[in-house]
Amino acid sequence: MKAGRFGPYGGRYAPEILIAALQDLTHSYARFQRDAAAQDELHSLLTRFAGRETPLYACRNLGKETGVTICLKREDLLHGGAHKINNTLGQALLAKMSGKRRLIAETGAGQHGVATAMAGAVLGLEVEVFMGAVDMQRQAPNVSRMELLGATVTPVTTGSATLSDAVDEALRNWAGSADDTHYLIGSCVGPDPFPGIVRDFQCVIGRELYTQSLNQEGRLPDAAVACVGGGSNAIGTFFPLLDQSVRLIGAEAGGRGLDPGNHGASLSCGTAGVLHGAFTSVLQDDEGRISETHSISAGLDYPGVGPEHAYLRDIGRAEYMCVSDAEAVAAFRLLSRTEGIIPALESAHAVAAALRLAEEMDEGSLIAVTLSGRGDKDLATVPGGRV
Amino acid sequence: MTRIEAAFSKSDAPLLIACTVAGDPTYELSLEVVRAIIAAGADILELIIPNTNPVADGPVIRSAHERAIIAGGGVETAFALIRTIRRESQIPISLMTYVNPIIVRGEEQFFRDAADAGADGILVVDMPPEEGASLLRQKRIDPIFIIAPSTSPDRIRMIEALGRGFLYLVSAPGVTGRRTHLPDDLGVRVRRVKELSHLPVAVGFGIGSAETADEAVGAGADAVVVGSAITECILVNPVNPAPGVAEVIGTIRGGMRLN
Ligand SMILES: Cc1ncc(COP(=O)(O)O)c(C=O)c1O
Repeated sequence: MKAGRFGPYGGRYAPEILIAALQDLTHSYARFQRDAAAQDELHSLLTRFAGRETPLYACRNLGKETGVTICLKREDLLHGGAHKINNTLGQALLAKMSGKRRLIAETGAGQHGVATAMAGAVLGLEVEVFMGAVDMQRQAPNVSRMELLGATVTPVTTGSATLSDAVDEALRNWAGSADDTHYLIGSCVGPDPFPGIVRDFQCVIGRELYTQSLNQEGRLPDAAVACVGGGSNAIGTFFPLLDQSVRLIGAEAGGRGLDPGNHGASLSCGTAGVLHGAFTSVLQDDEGRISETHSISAGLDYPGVGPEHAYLRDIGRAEYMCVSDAEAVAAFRLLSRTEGIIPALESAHAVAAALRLAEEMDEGSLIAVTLSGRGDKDLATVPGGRV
Repeated sequence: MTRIEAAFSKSDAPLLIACTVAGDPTYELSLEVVRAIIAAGADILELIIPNTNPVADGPVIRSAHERAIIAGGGVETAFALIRTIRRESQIPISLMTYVNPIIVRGEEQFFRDAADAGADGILVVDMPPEEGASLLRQKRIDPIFIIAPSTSPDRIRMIEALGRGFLYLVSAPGVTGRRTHLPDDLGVRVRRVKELSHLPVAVGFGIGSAETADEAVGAGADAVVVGSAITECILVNPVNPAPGVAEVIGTIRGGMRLN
């Protein structure tokens, strides 16, 4: 496979103004991977600062009626409340070692912004986060957290004022600031080398899951399920399991329905195109204009997806299903009541997908679900009362 | 020789390249803007295909993309605009676009259709030569590439060997938009590119006044690109932008002659 490509997907479709920065990043990341001291420091931050390893918890109640065991990979227990910190600590350390003094990031749900602000604070790097004005409203608690952590949150009002517009704005800012600034992208999207870097940092999820499943359950799961926004928690779960006989299933935002503008299901409904620097599966019209999207979860409200997922879909190694807003909200409530765990609305899509699978799988099967984040941030979107 | 190459070889004085988003604010008014650009004596027309994610553009041109998209603009309307202009004028036309519309139409198909419509050159903002094999194969249309402040000498050599028509030198890091002054090191950078390249060098990003046009020519530019200042005329007078556009072109031309 060509460097920076996943089958036909990926690539470096970036303005010339960013090419030198992307080349530098490729080189500094190669050095970082060979640097034993850097790897030790990352390991130490991940364990003592972020709280790895995270448990693999076999649900006592969820899905019990189906005879299928559902295990949760508890990324929701990480510092900051989501898997995002795996990536931000890695990239922030990389940025610091490459002599950068400032981090910029986009955020949708605010979780990546919070995780970037935390990494910036602990490593002494200035942080500016671009966030759609609509998302700032629906994820207000995360805006306060970022500010408390010392980050500047810059509202983005262009387009639909959500995640995709925030990525646009971060790229624009980077075009004028790459000398001293690292763009800490929040998912396995963007021009090469970002998708590979983010995947590598998130693979800790799948590696732990592999070992824990063998140790605790005596075998690997029959299926591994994760939600897919840009696809980072999913690729981190899937990648270490690619060579095993484990079904890999991604849950996309089915939103209000599968007509254009009402969902974020880039893999199930998209066509091939370039968004944010990578050739991938994109929600767009027949002239390449990117569509509006909708999801009840800000983190899945994105018209593109990591290029590696488009490749895994095409070769049939991973399957992707759509979970509607209503199904996700039902799973959000169900997991809270049955297990005492409030999942992020993003992660609730994965839980809903797992419940659907459990219905059709043989009794005695084992499903692992990556619970990418916790749901405190979503209480304003889904009020706590009984349905 | 394409019309673009001919324009540079015919003229000793630096050229004025005027740029506007096709379909901003509507197809009809955009046609008036283009006619005003031609009537005011611009040497090359740069037409931008409206895009939903213009990541290299500052607020002014970004607003033009948004207006054109809302008015239904896209690849088809941009090609229609070029065909219409071609019936009236032989002005060299360079098409500027982000890569996605090209990928979606099919790369070869897109370039063929652009050439058939009457475009002479094409600059794809986010398709560096490494991703542009299909563009480099084109015979009827000049591939135009950007040189950024951060582009290394080795890379300038690689790009100039692949590009035709002219090289588009970005005046300063960042996105499109007007500036009060161009950076002090512009002259050094223009000279470096000219030492490494046989192609004419157009300077763009930040030029919207007589003063900045003068600075660009003083720095050694073979052409000056004006974009945001033209779009601002549409922002200020969306109903009748043409007179303002003519005035901007006159002002820039005046600045270019100060040298
Ligand atoms: C908790 C949580 N899960 C999932 C996502 C989606 O991102 P990705 O698909 O990259 O894991 C987000 C993004 O904001 C998130 O906050």
